[in-house]
Amino acid sequence: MTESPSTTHNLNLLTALCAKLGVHSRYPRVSEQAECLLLDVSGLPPFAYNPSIIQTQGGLWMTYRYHFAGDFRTRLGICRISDGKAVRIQDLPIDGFSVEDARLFMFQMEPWLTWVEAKWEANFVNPKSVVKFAKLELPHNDNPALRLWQATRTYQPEFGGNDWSGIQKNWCFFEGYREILLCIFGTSPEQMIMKVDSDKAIAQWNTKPLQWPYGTARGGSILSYDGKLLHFFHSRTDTGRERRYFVGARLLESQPPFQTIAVSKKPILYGSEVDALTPAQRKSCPHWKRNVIFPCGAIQDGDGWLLSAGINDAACALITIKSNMLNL
Amino acid sequence: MSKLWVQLGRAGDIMNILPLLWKDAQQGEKPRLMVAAEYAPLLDGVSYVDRAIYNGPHYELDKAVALARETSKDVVVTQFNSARQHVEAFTRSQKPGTATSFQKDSWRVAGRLGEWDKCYPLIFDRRDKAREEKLLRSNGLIVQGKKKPLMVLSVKGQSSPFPHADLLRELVTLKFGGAYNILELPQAERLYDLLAIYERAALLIAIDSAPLHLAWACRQFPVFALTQDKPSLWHGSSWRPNHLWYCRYHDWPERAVEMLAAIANMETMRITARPFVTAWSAYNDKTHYKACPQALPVATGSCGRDSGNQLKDEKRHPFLKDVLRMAMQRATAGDQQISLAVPGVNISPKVDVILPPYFAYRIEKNVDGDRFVPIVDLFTATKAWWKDALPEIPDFVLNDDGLWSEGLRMIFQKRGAKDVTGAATFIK
Repeated sequence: MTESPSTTHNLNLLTALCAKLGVHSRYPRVSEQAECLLLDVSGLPPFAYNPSIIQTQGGLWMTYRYHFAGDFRTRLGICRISDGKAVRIQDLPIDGFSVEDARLFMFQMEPWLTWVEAKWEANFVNPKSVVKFAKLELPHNDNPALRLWQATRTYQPEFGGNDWSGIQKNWCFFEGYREILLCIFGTSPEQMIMKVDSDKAIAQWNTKPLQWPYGTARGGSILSYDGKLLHFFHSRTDTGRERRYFVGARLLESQPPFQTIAVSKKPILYGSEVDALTPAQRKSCPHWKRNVIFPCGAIQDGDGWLLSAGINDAACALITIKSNMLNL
Repeated sequence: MSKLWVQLGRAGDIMNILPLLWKDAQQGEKPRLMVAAEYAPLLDGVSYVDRAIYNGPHYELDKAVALARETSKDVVVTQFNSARQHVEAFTRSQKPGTATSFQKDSWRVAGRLGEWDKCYPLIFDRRDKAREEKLLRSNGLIVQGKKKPLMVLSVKGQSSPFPHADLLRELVTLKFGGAYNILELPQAERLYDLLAIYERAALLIAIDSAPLHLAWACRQFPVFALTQDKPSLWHGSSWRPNHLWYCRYHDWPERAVEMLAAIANMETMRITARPFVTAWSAYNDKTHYKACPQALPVATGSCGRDSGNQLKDEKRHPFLKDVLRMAMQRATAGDQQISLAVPGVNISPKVDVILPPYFAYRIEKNVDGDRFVPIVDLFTATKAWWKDALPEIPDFVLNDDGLWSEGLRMIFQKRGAKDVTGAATFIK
């Protein structure tokens, strides 16, 4: 489509203004929006992203996603974060054409994992995906180097079109009252929360949709907070000219039907054009995407939280969130 | 001898430069002005100008300038309504048409265009009360007791006749004949005697003629201005801050109903509780009926330049800076707040307690709830702030591509403005 003369005129002026002001982004890099832990990920595969975290087995563990073959396909890895450094790095033994966006959660005192398994025809035609979840186990071995995580009891829930007929992703599993497994299937056009037992939904609560101006709330991670549930989620706006991700938070009742009590008045974090990557690094990272902030995990951290999020599909960040940042 | 200004006529053109002469007089330099004999009575109403009379028609600029040069080495010609070669020869060799209207060009050739935004007043300080009372009395305007508000029509003119005068008169009479006392502007012994009528009127509807220019002498007087647009926008009178509604002649048939709505809404319209000036481009929307001192819907043709005549845009849009300048002219004190918005923005009363400068991204209201759109469509700052920032703001076109908004947001953020997203909502 040809731009109108006035749009071309404005674009030239805006480009010149950006250069003059030294502006490269609408929002500053995520590390300038909130305090981020310095993370040494030099041992991880290049450009690993979309991390999830969990406190278990006496340490902080982080999953991530990475491209292993120079194309769209990804695998999942896990490492321990020790003194800010990624150690005990291993691939998660999960089969699939492409496995993506792991989210860790605790259920009945044990670590569990949910992820997306995707497949498509050549050139990313006709993509399909399903959501799966499994229990994570770290069997004992006298040799610590051989002590590797394993995914056991894998389930593919049989509801919500999770049957390779379309694209399913961004489900959010969490442990609810009385140690039941719950899953937020969606927040719009109405909130649908399922009670899950292995691969079955044995109860369902539908409530009013979550009203959040910054796009449909999806995915994220849920924690208990002050007798309620605190949900960190992501959303996205797409104007044709610009696509941008946001992180918000909301409080839900901890009992069915899990109504939303409050939601952030404005985003906690904004996806940004800028990040820690150099221009050369971006160039060598074909899956780099601007304006992405993608939370996959959260844990309690003192009087706040530690949120793990992917940055621009090319990096991992652990971000400190304080209660005054929730904007509830 | 001191500087001699030459503006032989007509009355409107003379009144256009009187504010400049008044300004000079305030600074201790009583200016001299040469006018044609037929317009000399106009200067009876001002004390701050020494007049020099040219005894000939107003278009004999060459002869008048020759005469002027006999008495002054510093002759300033601001006149354009004469033979082109004379205009080009005498207006300091600067071609007319560079500014966006003949009025501003007059100031430009005097080297004073930069002062246009200061809105110097048009002062008639030698009014004749007896003559004014006679005029009022003869038009039945001195009445006791309750009376209907007065609407004044000025739809006759020589140099720029309005082609729809009869229709306008008919429409206004049909619509407002009951609520208003409608008076067609009478002849007065001196043009400025009409100020007595203006001071009693609720509004003036005026075509591009001397009474329209005279209305600037009553800055708070609501004016509905109809201005020339042929052969170009340059030939029409500039928008003035007291023009609550402004329309070019050839746009009027399409906008006539809107004009009636603007008059009907004039008394009830208020944007916020506090005296903000809220400006937006109304080139492509239907909100021009919002006519009050706080609302500044910049309608098609209000700016002498636009993206149509400057950039060959198919769809015309004003330039951002022109709209801002208009808003700054409308605002009076330096601490008065000016909001720049887009059509469809509904500003929450909450903004009344927010200290400017601030901006808000679009929150779009629709049946499914609110939706954030990454376009800033409310910018608020004081007049003084805008004035200071104006040189830094690029000459964006105020169109709907969002790019101007992005640039302006950068400047706002750089200058420490707050993000108050949520303080305004957008309804499609």
